[in-house]
Amino acid sequence: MKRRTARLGNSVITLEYDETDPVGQRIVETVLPGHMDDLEAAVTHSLETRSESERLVLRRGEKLLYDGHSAGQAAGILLDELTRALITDCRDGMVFHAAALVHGQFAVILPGPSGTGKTTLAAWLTTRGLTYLNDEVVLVDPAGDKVQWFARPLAVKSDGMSLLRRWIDQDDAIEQSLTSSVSTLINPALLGSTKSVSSYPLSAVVFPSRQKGAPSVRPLSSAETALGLIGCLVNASNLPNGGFPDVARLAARVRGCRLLYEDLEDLPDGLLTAWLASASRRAASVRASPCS
Amino acid sequence: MKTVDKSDVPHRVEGYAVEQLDSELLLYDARRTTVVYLNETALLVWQLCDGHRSSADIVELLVAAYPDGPAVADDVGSALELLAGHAVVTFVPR
Repeated sequence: MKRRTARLGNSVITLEYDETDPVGQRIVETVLPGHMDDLEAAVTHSLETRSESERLVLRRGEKLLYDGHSAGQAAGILLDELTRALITDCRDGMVFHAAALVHGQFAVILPGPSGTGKTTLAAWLTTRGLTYLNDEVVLVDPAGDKVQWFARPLAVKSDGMSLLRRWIDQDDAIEQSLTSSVSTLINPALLGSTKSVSSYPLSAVVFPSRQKGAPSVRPLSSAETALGLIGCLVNASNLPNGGFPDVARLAARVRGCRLLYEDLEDLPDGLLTAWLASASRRAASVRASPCS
Repeated sequence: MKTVDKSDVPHRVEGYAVEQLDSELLLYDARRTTVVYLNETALLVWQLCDGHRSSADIVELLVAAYPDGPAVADDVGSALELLAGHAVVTFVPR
């Protein structure tokens, strides 16, 4: 048996699996791309592949999570389960329901509940020069000095897949992705994911919002940014005062905006990236100031 | 939206965590895990809710302070209704 470990701050999960089974191997490569084994971490989850019956059995400890024949379903459940497990115990900062990318030397996060277009927008931004980090959860310290993430696939819903095919010219790779009943799991390597740096300082928070009308970027005040972030804080119960003072401190140090758009295809190229460039310049100047 | 009787005296409700960011304010209720956002006008009105001034006193004070404001009285009235609606102030008859 082989193991893979993923971390988010103090939170650790380790999956044990049978590396000789190609189906199990494919699921693990998809769900935990690039993660290494940590021999000191205790095994929290297991994926058994029973070749005689072609069944996949997924467990957290003794608890059965999946017993069936679909690699896509098993991968989808495993991804949700590992993400939930990493969030639940995380106390090392604020965990936001947000996608994350790199713009220049800084991280940009796209917070929002499921269905707001975080994944699709993150993928689109990679075609405009940003680097993809994660499409679901990020860990941020109150000073905004460190945005951390764990490598995971993009979970693209069916409406996003048609757009993604237009932007990523690797049909074969997309065809080989695993698909659950909810989403298709795309390897972040297709978007040029970076792994050389373990954290980035945060410069900007962009709340995606799909609505009819001309696309626009509406700058938010610090208080409006904090209000939006509070709504996407997923480990509030682990933090003092529900994370409220930390979120306010963070919002005062970064720029926030609401990106209003109906269709990404109609979004002018420079609209968001110009605003991000200005947020990066401000972040660089705040960090260069001796009073910051 | 709650209707405010102008002679009533608004009192700030205690127990909220408060964070002022520039000229705006967030009030966090840990028991209900809710956050109330106050814009600049609502923050000013909330600060004037000292348990002594009536709603009418607050309107009068701000109309005098911003004589060129186009609709100060309406804005203050809306802010008081907002504060009442979020239960961050309570009103006591004078």
